Amino acid sequence: MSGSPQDPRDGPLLAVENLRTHFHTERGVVRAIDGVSFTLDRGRTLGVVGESGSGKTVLVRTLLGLLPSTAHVGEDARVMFDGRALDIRSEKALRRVRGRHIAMVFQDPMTSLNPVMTVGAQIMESLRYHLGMGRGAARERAVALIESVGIPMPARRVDQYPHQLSGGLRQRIAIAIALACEPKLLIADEPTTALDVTIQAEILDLLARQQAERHMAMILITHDLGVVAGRTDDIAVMYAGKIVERAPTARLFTAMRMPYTRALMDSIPRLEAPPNTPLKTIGGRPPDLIDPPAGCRFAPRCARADDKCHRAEPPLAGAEAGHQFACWRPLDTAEATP
Amino acid sequence: MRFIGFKLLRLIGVVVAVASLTFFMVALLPGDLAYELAGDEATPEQIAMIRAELGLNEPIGWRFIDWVGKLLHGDLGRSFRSDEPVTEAILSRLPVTLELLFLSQVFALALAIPAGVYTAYRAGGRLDRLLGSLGFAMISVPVFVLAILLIYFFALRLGVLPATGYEPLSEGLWANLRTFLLPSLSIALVEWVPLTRILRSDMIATLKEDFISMAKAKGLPPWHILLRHALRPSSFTLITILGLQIGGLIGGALIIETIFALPGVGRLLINAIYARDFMIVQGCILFIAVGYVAVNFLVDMLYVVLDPRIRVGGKGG
Amino acid sequence: MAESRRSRFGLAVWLPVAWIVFVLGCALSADWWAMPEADYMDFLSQGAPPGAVGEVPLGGGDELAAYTYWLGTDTLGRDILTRLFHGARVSLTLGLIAPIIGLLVGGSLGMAAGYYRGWLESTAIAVTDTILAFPAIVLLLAIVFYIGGSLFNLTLTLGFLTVPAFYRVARANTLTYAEREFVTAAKAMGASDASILLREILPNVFMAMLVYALLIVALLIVVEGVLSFLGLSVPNAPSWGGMIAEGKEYLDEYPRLSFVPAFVMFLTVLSFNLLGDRLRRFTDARESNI
Repeated sequence: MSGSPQDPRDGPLLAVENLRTHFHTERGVVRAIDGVSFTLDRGRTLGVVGESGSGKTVLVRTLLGLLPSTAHVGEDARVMFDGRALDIRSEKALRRVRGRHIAMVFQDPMTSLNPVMTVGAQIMESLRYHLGMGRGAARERAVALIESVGIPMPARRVDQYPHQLSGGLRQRIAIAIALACEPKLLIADEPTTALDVTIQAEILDLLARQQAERHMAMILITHDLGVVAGRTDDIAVMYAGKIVERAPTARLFTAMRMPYTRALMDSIPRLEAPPNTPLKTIGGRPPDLIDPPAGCRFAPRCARADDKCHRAEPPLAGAEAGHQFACWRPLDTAEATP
Repeated sequence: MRFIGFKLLRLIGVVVAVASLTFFMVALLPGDLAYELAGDEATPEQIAMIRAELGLNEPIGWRFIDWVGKLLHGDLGRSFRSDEPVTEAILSRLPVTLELLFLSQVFALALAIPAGVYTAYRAGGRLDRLLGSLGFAMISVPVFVLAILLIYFFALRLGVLPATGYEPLSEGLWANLRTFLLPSLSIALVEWVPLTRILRSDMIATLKEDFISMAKAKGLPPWHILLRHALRPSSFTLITILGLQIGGLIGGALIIETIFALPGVGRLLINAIYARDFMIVQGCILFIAVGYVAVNFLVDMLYVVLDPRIRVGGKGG
Repeated sequence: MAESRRSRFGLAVWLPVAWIVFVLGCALSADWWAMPEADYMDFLSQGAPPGAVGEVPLGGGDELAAYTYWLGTDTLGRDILTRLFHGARVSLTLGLIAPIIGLLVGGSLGMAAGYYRGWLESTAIAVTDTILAFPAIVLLLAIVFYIGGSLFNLTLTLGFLTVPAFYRVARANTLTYAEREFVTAAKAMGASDASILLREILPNVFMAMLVYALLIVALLIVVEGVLSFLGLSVPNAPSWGGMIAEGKEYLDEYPRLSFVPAFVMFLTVLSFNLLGDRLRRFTDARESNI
């Protein structure tokens, strides 16, 4: 998967191999992500889905080096970005891509925007630092960006402070900041979780539109399968620090193989169900990442688990059409259809 | 606006309390003021004359009102040694004290800001621990001891800076600054410690915030993030402390002016105490107390200016 | 974690304590040693270096005996060591007694205000804020000027000036503890206000005040140093600040005249600061284990 192509532009935009991140805590070493590999092509959207603690946020923070000092990234990780090796353990290397080629939108725009800087200044900062724009040009561009993310009266907004904007507008600003330098990859970490339900769709539509216009690759992280349903090309399902299933979106929804994916799907409440239908939950709790169980990590909660599942860890193996999963006893097609 | 009004009221209240206290402390003192002022060899006539001049024969209520009246006109009486009007004596020496206070704060900040920012960035590192211990030791050194140390090394041993003396600005900027260098350094070398601690602790808290991660994700270099993003929100407590420290600074300035023979308000006060020049002492005390309260008030106002969340009244959310 | 705390509790606590006990001992025993009077001037040994020998009357009599000036003499021939001992008396009396006044008065007021709240608290806040609105040095100088700088006056004034600070500390701590469950439980069991204050709240508040008191002691020793440096402290008694001031005139020839008392003052202040700091860390750590 990470062979070096002849022309960098032919290969995938991002190729990650064997990513591991550990945190050193008082209780022991938490293996937050434990051997994650995937690729992402240019202009495609990858949805990363999982419960809290599955490692989805740690994954992208590892890629950009935004981890606290207690974190330790495994040495045998290999990351290729835009045809070149990216040393994610080197601050210098990362600073060359951050903001400029890979940009990130955080979950809560109230805390991710600097409260004592105008929103315009926060956009202009990237433009002036990465693209060397002068103040006048940067301001013009900032106004244009604010407009392009769907905020009316951009010339007025550019001098306002974050607390003067509503939550939805703030997140649009955060997106404008991310798009400022025309990055090749946009990472959105739960971009709608902190927003009202009514605004969520707007923001996701905005992201999709921008991505199409700019031919940008995107990683969309969420715990909500509904968010990724119509908006991603591929989906990777994470559990307990590993990717357990990966497939093109349509296939995942129609032909999922991992019981965990099935359980996630089932736990989404449905409008058509009769009233007072009990919500389905997945019994049990995610494993302790300091001392994960031997064998498949989902086995303790899986209805289909057998001896082998508890003893040996299933590898992430490819089947047809870009569909990979890690399971000894995957669902067959009949069971898979919801 | 209500906020400002309340603070202003408090300012006035304290000023009134200070003024009244100063008056009554003197008026109700044991001993005959006129006798003391006249000296041991005074004749009864001289004492009577002084009494009349000071209006000491009037009932105390009248004297108080009279005194307040004079105060409102800025008349603090005249010195008994030099017959100079007290107000003039103070005001003519005020620039020196202000320059000393200003330069001390400038030096203290020049030391504290880099130290605070850097030790917050590399908290727990060697420099952090070293500066922490050094700072702890330095606040155990009294200001006047530090002054003497500086005089010993720079004035006596190295001979590069004057030990005493004052050159007004009219003699040239460098000549003027030279005479203030050791004095303000004496104060600054103690003042920087609490400033650094406060800044460091605020910065450490700020650096944990999400918008700092965001700035990092934008690819901005560390010094840019530290100075442009982290410093401003972290400086609120610093500003407050700067203002609160003025009180301690005044005390420091008093001593420093005396040691370095700078003709400021502090030295005026101390010399007046030695000479038992009662009017000047009273005037100085009143002036300093009111000035201190006024400065605190200004610091409160500065706080409002700096935090746009208070100033631009949030509507969002 | 506990291991490093214990080892930090070691030298950094015992050295300051040892020094303070030593200084205290010197101050108390100043008159008992075979040393010359603090203001006896040996005209034959003026400006003598440390280790010089002179002839001084010891033990109250008039005959001269040989005596080694361990720290030398000043320009008037007075023994520096003796003067340091006597100077410690003034510094430590002021430094230790004034905070006790502040602690008792401020502490009780603070505890009462924090527990009972109401008009007592509001009045006390208004008064203490007004006092704190004065720069303390100025108030001190005023008192010294008008009433004179006797030991009694100074101790009382300084004690008074520390009351607001102790009040605040006591009140803040009482507020946190008064809300806690063990107080509610005691009330439910019918305990009187007084016994609650004494048995439940006081032990906890006391620790915080003790920490603060140690730092105040350090501060007051410096303040006394400043006053005596300016010649405004207790008259006719040797004091560390006064010795430093006298030594300043001869800084060029005899720097030790200033630096020896300065160093002694520094060590004493540092010791109290260290103790206060260690004690604070200890109580903080204890708090966080709850």
